Amino acid sequence: MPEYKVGLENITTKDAYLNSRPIWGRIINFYFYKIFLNFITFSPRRQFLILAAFPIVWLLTQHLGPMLQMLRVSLLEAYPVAEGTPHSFTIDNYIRFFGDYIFWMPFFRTLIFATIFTVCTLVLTYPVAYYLARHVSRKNQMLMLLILLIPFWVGEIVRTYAIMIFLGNTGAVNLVLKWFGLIERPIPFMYTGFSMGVGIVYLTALYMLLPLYSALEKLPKSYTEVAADLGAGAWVRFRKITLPLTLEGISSGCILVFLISTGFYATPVLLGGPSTTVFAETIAGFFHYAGDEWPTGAAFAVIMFLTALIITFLFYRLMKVLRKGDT
Amino acid sequence: MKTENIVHIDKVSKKFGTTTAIEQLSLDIKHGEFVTFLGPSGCGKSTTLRILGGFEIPDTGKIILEGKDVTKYPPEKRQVNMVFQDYALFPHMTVSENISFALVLKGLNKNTIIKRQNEIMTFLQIQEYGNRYPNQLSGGQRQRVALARALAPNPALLLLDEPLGALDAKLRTQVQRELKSIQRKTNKTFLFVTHDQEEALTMSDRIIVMHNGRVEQDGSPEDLYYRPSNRFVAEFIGETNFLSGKVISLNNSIVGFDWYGYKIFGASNWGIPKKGSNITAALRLENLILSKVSPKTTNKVQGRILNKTFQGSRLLIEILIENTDEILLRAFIDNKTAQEIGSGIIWLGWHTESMAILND
Amino acid sequence: MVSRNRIILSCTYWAFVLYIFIPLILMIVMGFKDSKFIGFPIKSWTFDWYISIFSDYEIIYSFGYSILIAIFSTLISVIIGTWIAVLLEGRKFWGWSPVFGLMILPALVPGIISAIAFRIYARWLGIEPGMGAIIWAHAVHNVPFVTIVVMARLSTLPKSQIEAARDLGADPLLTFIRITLPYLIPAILGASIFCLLLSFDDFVRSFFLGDYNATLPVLIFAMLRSGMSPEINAIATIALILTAAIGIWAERFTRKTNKDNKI
Repeated sequence: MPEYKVGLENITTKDAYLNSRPIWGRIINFYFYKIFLNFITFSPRRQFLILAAFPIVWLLTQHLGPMLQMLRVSLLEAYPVAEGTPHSFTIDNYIRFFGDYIFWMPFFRTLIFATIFTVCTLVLTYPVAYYLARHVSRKNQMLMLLILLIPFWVGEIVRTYAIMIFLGNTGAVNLVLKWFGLIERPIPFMYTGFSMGVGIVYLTALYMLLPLYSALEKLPKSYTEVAADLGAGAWVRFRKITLPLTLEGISSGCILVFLISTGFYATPVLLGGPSTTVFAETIAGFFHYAGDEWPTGAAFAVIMFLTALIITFLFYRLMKVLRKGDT
Repeated sequence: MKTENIVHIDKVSKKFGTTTAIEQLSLDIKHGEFVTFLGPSGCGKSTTLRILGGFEIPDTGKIILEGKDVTKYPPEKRQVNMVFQDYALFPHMTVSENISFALVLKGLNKNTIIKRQNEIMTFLQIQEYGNRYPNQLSGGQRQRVALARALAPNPALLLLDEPLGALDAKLRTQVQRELKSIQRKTNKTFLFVTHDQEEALTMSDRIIVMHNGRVEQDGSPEDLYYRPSNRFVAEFIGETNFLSGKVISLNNSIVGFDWYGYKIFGASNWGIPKKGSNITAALRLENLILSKVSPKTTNKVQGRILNKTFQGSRLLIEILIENTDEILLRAFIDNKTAQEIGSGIIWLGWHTESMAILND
Repeated sequence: MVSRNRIILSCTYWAFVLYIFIPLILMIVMGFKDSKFIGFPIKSWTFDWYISIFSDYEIIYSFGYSILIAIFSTLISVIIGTWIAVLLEGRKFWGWSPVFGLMILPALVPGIISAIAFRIYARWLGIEPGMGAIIWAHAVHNVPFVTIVVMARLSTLPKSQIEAARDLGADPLLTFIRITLPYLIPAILGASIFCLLLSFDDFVRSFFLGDYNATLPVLIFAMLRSGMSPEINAIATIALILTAAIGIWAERFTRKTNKDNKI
């Protein structure tokens, strides 16, 4: 081994420190940097406060603010508030919702549709996720998953339009059906609950697929192999092992899809018809005009948001109980 | 201004939540020593090192480094560098950038940095890896880079937190020898943490055995091995027979005690126990002398060979001692002795100095 | 028995692939059809629709407008999202959970509600509908995605890296700039691409917060309301290829850098 030279001990001349120092060495010895650093790292407490101050302000004003303002407007008697008049609050905007079936019909339709679409997405993507996670080799898994992800980078509107073409009277589905001689005249899929369903499932499948896939992928293969060893059939293995252990993935996927599908506006407008008006369209209707209808729209949005939250919360609790019961 | 004690730890305590990591620890470390903190995981050895490095602030007590109280100093203000268990090389910087990291922050100019960087890289024989990234190096090379990075700013004290844990067994013995020679050549104070007793015995000038946040014994490797002061140390380092009995005679540090009717003498290196009290003595397995005829040692007993286990260069023998309630003593002997003594009844003897009286 | 299950499952996978791809492929194909009428049969092919959109000022404008909005909103989201991630990850403090909840809120609010909440708030703040309002809404909406991605990356940064830098003489700020930030770069880049695409693709917020200048999705929506036309196919195809290509590239990039950075 070579000799060790005692480094740096003989460096006492000033120019060793001052001539052409690398940038970081200059910054750290820069007078104003030192002052700034001393200011922010004066104490751990101050350091934390400086780090936390801006995010907290941002979260309160930008993340919470819009929701609170929406709630406030929903309680206003008149909007915009005329200058000089006091703000008067009322719950009339909420009462109005129950007064007319053209309001609560779309509301319940939205909830029912969202539930049906969520279940459909789950049933459709579960076998796909299962196949990917359990039957495909590690190397191909990523590639095959990536193939499915490609279309999901494409926007809502473009994909909705694709579905319009797909289901149209001269679209692919009708063409194939006709070709097989199953129908003589095209089936009018478009502008029905069906076309809306196909579109929304098409848009939300990814949000179900990914949680399911990661839950299934985490599940060790040995569990089902042991069960098979003990004589459990395919269905029993699925029912008793795979399903209970992937409930977490199922519940997060369902919550995501449910919340997202209640919020669609453009897709129902483009794919649905007059008999399938959803609540998003109702709410949007109040905002097409200058503002005097805004409180009602805001109130309806609050109703919808709270309902969606309550439903997902109850669903989450239910899944938690189910998970505990099984494990 | 070099005081002889480079580090003085004064009654330092540290708690994490409700668990005590270190309790009332006081230590002095001399300049140029290779000191090893040895103990099972959770004994407080790593915490001691982290307090010295400035990563933890002690609840009470003081750390004096080169005569200066640095207890509340952050790591960047201490003349102490650390080699981490996972080396903690910066993955986005080349080897030479890693090594010059501290030099740049010292405010040195480019020429000085390059000079010092070359010095240290030549010394550790890693000069040809300068432009590589850490993920292009082998485990042993990374270890050297980590060492070079820590040595580059010429620290007063080098802390090493189990830096050999990630290496395979064969490389490890080689690196142990190298590390020792690096320490000799640089004449720096190394504080080394490990849970591996063999590693500690091979490299250190001084070993500090820790258990539950306290120092159990502090001494040279020989002291610890042949003269353990308590049961924990005796059990933790090497293989030991324990003999317990009542003290019947005292002569300076030579303690005589009754062991199943045999009168046994051992040396105490911590003080003198009371006459009539119960004590335990530790006897290393390789210090037993086995023979067919009565040996010339102070202590001798007769026994019957129960079991022989072949262990390569030596044999582990279990002997049932005559006239006791089936007490077993274990001994290491070489293969030649094993052939000589054959089987059946044999004599076991050992010297007074090779048996340490424990203080618990 | 097992292999039969396997075949059924693999069929569902490929059926799903078809379901995902056929509508898009069909849309692309229709963009080359030499007729105003969208649907089968196709008798002859043409590039006319592409030529016509490239000479349409409104389309080109909205395309650039969308990209501009995407870039600005992404810049804001990335800075703020990273900041919040650094605050939240690996730190325990009183109020952590509420802060995390608030952070994630914009991602959980259903689209339409989010859009009108922003609309109401923008009016209260005095922000006129238009580019600024859209950038702001997109920025707020995308922050949680950045924070989640950056937090995940930050949680894998070994603590010893930070300690080593401090040990070698770097103060906390410099340690962040020289160690933490370079380590986060792949996550930040991945999140930026994701935000760019989210913003570029977003319809509902752009629709409610926009003025007469339409972003690309809003323009396509408006065109669709007055009927399908092969021109829409052409625009949608270009948008599709652009976004999918960027998406795939980002996916591969993050995967590769994640692998490279492992020690």
